[in-house]
Amino acid sequence: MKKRVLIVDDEEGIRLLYKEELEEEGCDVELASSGEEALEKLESDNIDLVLLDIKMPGMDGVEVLRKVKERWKELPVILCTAYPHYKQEFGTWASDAYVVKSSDLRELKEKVKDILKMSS
Amino acid sequence: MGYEILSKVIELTDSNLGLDQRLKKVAGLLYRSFPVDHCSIYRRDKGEKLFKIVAAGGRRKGSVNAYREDEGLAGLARRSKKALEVSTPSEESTSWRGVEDRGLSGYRSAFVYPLTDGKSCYGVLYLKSTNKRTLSTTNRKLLGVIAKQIAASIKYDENIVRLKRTYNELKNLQTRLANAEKLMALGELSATLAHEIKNPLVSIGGFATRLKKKLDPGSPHLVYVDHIFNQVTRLEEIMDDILNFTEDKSLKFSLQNINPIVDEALGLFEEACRNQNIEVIKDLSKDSIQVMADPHQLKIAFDNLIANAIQSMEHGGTLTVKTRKENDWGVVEVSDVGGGIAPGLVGDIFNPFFTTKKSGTGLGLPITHKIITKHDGHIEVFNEYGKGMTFAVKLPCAGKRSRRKR
Ligand SMILES: Nc1ncnc2c1ncn2[C@@H]1O[C@H](COP(=O)(O)OP(=O)(O)OP(=O)(O)O)[C@@H](O)[C@H]1O
Ligand SMILES: [Mg+2]
Repeated sequence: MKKRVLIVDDEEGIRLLYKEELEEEGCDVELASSGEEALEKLESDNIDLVLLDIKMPGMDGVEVLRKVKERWKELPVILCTAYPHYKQEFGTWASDAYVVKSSDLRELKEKVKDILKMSS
Repeated sequence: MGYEILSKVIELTDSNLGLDQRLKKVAGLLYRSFPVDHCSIYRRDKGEKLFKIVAAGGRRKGSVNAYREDEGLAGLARRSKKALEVSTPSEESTSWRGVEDRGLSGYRSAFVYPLTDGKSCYGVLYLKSTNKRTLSTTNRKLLGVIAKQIAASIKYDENIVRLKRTYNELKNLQTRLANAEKLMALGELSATLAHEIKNPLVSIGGFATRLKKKLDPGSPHLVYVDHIFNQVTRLEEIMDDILNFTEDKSLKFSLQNINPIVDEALGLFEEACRNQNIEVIKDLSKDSIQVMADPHQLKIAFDNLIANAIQSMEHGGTLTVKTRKENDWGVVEVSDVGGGIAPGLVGDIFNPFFTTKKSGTGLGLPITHKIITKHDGHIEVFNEYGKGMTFAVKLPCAGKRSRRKR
């Protein structure tokens, strides 16, 4: 059965890029452009992994992360951001992985596969 | 005649020449104007506790290069703050009233004046004659006034030197403060910029990669895509530099010997030096220099300095890296012969983004500065335009007394 990944990012370009790349890796992909939308999708769909941008207008990624972990304790979340700073603050805390955004997507895809226990 | 000499002395001591130069002229003038065969002026070196000769006129015989502060007639004149009129029974005799003075050899009389402003003693003035002589009351008074005038000019000179040093220290401090402010402003700005710029870069670079996958391996358009991808990667690296720079990583301090860190940094450039025909002189202190440091960060700092030095010597030269201990400071010096930088630009080199290189980001030195500052150290720059540049990193040595002490 295909794994379902929810991508949460306010930038359309990034959503599309991640979607296409992850679909190529054999995932089903759902998209959300805000924290609020992400929480709605999580209620209705069966999601195996969330890719979460930290900096978003409205509810930011850290807040979304907290809400997600309150309700779905076991659901893995990968935090993505431009800031290496957060690595120390949140990296070890609630998320399952942390990725600094880069146009080289290999690290991200490795982490996704790793968490979903997919063989490459 | 008295006033003439006095006005000449004042003129000489007031002139624009360097102090030693002026004192030489005064010594010559005194020897010619008074009935003596020798005149010498000594300056007091308080640090070494010595009187050192700076000027002499007339016969060379019996010139003493230096007296200890308490030695001879110089010492007596300093302690008593009074002029001494000395005569000896023969040219061979070198003592007067129980005071030994090597300089008396060959003379029958001597007049020794302390150079004092009434409080401190700045030196001594010796006038010596091969004949038995006394001074007229007028001459005695005149020499008293002249001695005061010389003392005043030495004092004045010392004050100027001290003022200049303080001024330079202040100027240095001011530049350092101004840099610190600029860096803080950069920090705030770049945090915002990073997000705004990095996200679009991820899209551009990411889609370029996707495009490449879709193209035939033989397609002529591959080159375009490669260009896009390479340029994006370069921009991303710059952004990461900025972010790493802004990021306030807490450093992990531990007791470190500077030498192996310098050595390791230098090792990275072995090949570059060979290729660029650069001779490397490595002069690391034999004893270890212990500092509290984050070795990784410190290495980055030295990396940057060495990289700059090598980049300044495109057509070969000599790279000198020295370490030594200086009082409670560990000093690392990186010198090149790459011509330095125009004097007007020296003030800019620590500014973020200041660069004169085609492919420089201008972050090497600001990052270095920041790292060193976090180690409670500082960087001194010696720029010899046309010759080369030396960067001296000074770090407080680890120890009971040293840390935090400036
Ligand atoms: N050893 C040196 N000799 C001559 N000029 C120097 C030297 N070191 C630094 N500079 C000058 O200072 C400028 C700033 O140096 P800095 O290391 O901050 O940036 P950069 O070397 O230009 O770029 P980057 O280090 O980010 O690649 C240089 O561009 C150069 O003009
Ligand atoms: Mg540099």
